[in-house]
Amino acid sequence: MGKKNAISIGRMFTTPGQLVSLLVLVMPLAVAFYMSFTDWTPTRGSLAQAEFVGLENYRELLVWDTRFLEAIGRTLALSAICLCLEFLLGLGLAVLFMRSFRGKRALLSAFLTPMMVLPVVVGYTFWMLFQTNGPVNQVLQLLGMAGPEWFKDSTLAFAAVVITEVWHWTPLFFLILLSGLNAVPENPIRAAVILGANPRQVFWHVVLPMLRPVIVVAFVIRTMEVIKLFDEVFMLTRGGPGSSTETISLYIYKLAFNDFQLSYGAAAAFMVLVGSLLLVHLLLTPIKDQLMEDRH
Amino acid sequence: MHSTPEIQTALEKYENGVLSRRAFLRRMGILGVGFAAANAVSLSPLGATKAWAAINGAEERAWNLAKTAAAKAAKKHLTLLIPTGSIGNMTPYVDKWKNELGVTLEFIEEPDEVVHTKGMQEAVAKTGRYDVMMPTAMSYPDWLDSGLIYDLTDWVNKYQPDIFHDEWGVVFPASHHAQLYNGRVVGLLCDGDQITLLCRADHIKNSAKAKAFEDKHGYKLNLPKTWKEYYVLAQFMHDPKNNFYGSLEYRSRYYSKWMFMQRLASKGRLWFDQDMNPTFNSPEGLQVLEDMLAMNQYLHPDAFSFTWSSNYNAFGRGEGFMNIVWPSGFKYSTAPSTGPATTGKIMATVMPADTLPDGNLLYAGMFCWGYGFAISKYSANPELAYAYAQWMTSPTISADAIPYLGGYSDPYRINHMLKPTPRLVETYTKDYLKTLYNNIVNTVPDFCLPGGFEYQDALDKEVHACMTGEKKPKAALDAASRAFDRITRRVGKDKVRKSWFALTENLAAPIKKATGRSDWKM
Amino acid sequence: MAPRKLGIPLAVVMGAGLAFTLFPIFWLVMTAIKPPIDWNASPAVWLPSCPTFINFLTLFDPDAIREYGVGGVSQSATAAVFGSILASVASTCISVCIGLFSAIGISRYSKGSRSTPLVILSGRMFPPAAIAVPFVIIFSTVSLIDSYVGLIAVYVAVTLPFSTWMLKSFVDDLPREIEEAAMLDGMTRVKAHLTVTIPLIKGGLFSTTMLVFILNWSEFMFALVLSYSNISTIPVQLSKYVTATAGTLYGVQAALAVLAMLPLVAGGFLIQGHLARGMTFGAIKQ
Repeated sequence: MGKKNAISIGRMFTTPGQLVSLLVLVMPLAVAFYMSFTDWTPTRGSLAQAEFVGLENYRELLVWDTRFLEAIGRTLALSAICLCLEFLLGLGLAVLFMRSFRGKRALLSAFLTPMMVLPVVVGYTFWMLFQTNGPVNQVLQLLGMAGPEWFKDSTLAFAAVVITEVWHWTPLFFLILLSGLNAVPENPIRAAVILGANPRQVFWHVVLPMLRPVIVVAFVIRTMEVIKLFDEVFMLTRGGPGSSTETISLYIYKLAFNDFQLSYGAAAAFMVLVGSLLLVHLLLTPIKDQLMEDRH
Repeated sequence: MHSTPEIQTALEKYENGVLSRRAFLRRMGILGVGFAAANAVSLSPLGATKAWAAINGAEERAWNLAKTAAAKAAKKHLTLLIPTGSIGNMTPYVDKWKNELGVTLEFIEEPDEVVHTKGMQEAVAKTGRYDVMMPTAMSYPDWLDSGLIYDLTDWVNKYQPDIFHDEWGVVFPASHHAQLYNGRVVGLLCDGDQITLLCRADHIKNSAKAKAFEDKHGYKLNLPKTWKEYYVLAQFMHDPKNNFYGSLEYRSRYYSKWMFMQRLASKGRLWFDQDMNPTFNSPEGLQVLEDMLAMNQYLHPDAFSFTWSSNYNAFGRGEGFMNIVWPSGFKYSTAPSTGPATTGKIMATVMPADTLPDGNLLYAGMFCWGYGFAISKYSANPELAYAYAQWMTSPTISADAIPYLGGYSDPYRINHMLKPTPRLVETYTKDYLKTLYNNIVNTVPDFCLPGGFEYQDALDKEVHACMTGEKKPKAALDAASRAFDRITRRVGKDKVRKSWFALTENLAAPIKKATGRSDWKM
Repeated sequence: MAPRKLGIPLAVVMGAGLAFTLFPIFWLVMTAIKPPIDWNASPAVWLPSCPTFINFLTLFDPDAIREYGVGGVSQSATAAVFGSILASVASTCISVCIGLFSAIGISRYSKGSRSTPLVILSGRMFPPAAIAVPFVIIFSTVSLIDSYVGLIAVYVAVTLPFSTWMLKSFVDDLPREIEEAAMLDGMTRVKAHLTVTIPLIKGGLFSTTMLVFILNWSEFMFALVLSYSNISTIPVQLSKYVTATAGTLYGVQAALAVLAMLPLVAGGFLIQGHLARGMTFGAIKQ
């Protein structure tokens, strides 16, 4: 039983996975990559007949396509707002859950439920909630406010998307931060208390720094998902009013499946991919060393 | 349906006065002739025999073709890609096709905006899964260019669906806008989608309101004839405290553009000039946006999220005085199950007119959406598929199919409106059918051009942005205009221009003159 | 140090949070048991005037709702429910099986396993709409479009990185010494993995399976694009409840949404302990 044997076993174990990834993930990506350098649309025949146009699609996107650039900016803004809100709410809730109270387990389950709802269903449900005569406005009226027309106003529609996203994914932040908090060792906290720190100081100066890797992981995971945000917005606003809630995924969907500018849509997708990889890489940098230690 | 000797005898007897009209209809019914067809024949000025041969011809030719094609077909099966909500017009004939031809019909329903997507996808995938597809008229150019559908012209010449017939053809100019691409027939229209104006008759006939209105405005309370009157009426009737709004015009995404295009057409403007410059970025276009913005305060609060169905529902619940909708909206607001608060209380009129610079009124309509049948290039039985399309859209069968409530097909042939069957009259009323006719003869086309879906979306996005206050009118039109130029450049200016000329060649004379189309030079 | 108690002001805050969290679900469930007259009532009706299961019945028997005067429903959800189950279960099993072997392979035999898994990130971050197009092209050449085999292949590929890295984190947790002891007993490496490693990560395997199932069950875009007529899934079916006569069938849609939600909520509860790890590709352990 030598080292050689071990390597061949390792290979045997990993081959099926690599094969599947190659066939069903890498190949389509390669096709999309090739496509993005052609002028192909179905109205010009098949992909094989398409003309190679080099970086033309990329140039068009960056120079001419204001809607693309707007969608990117909007997606970034939306991501930033949602993630910050989700983080703050999730953190607050997680801190509450560090206290003792009855029915904790049941409440934990209840707070995690939104995460388990299908994105399409979330979008559909909130669409009902935000109707002008819907329950949200009824509650607002009870509170003495006039219920607005949510999908008519670009700011409100954007807010509706944010509320929906926050509802759907705060539980994830909550969950991750809660496990982070639970894993914070007792000793440094005790030491700080002995040194005379009040609970607030303990939280800001001892607990929070120790949570940093967990927070970064939560942000990275959510960034990856929120950039792709599609189902909820598709059901909720279809990108409207105007295009005030059109995320980049919605725009790419429109390019690919409404306009059938397939090669152009592929180019847009690759720009988004590269951009988000960079973003995630940036987010990960501060905790890279810690993360690797963790894995050990 | 075939001319058996029995039918011949019945026709002769009716013509010679031996059979009463009622007896004739009953006799034809026994012989398997649809009531619609029988009735059309009985009423025809041509005389029953000739009318039978004529109006029934398209149906009969289609049926014969179907018989031949079905006999040859290896798999006696047709698959139809249709928008959800339209199946009710087709299900009544499934048994007939199964029993008499042995052909099974399978319907694949997709949400209306997905039909174009699935079609284009089929152009890439080439599965042959669809035989007949039911897109809107806007899909044909891209579908034909993608090699997805047949150019139907040869079949049309051979089997004569009578789509251009002057007594029972599709009404001009919809016949050309919604079925042709660059002068070739690419689809058979099955849905007369035009928008007309509905009003609540009970409020117009309310004498207290009539008096108050006349005192205030100096003219009689009646259906609006111009956009100005429309606005005044909405203002007058608007009563939000009682959940009753001036009008239910659409302001939602995807629908807003049609409201814009309709008003623009009333001002004698089309979408492009002869050099493919967008014409809406003009004083007229700005005025239209201003008019629409002014109208917003008198609209139903859900106008910004209306879909066709939620609009129909709100109107049917009695939540508004006027509505600008497709004929199916009339059908629903007058049926007790779908229009509980409006049954028997609906009046309709052609779309309001606008005053041209020369002082004349211009009546224009908007032919928008407009479903039709196209035949897939990848179908295993294209002739059978074509036979189905011609049969379903034939003057007689379509007159029978349209009144079913479970679908949203609307009248589109001359005989539907001017010589309607009793069922059509029962569904739409004689007056409304006449209104439809008067409106459809002045319709202008949708973006039935290469890249049409891109154009409509670009325009809609900006109109919607303006309506919601995100953009000022000028900024919105500038942006739309830039988007149009970009689309034209990317699709190919010559290509779009050629089909734009072909599309606008057929317009009602006053519109052709007002828009300057008559002077264009290729 | 005993945790502090939750005071009344904080309990109120938490109560508000709970109301915010549960209200949408309450609304969805209420809509699912509303009779047609309450669906789109204005102002909205909070509690159904007379609760009914007709919406659920209509999912499987489209004509059932005729008794409420709503006709023209032509869609049955039976095929979609069946399709969702088939596609999710099959793809989850395959993905977890392949992922399990890859996880052992990477954890035990590969040196480069600690670098950031860029492939995962690319796979998960590429906008699905754009990668769906190559799938259409490739699948149409091998006749896999509109077939469950094709849809399952996509789901396996999309979730494979996920199951691999999550399972790897469980295998990593397991001391190598245990397997090595088994090998000293004369077991071959392969046998040691099968009889020692896998049983020891049972819990992790179950959690991974549930999570992959949740991902597959909720997937919308690929199903939307790859289905023509032979295949259907619940998320796709949801958008099809529109009839010409009654417009959108809110209640029926909600009923289907509730049905779709049930297995996920139940599954989520079952694996609550591993949820954090699962949702972070194994980056967080608890």
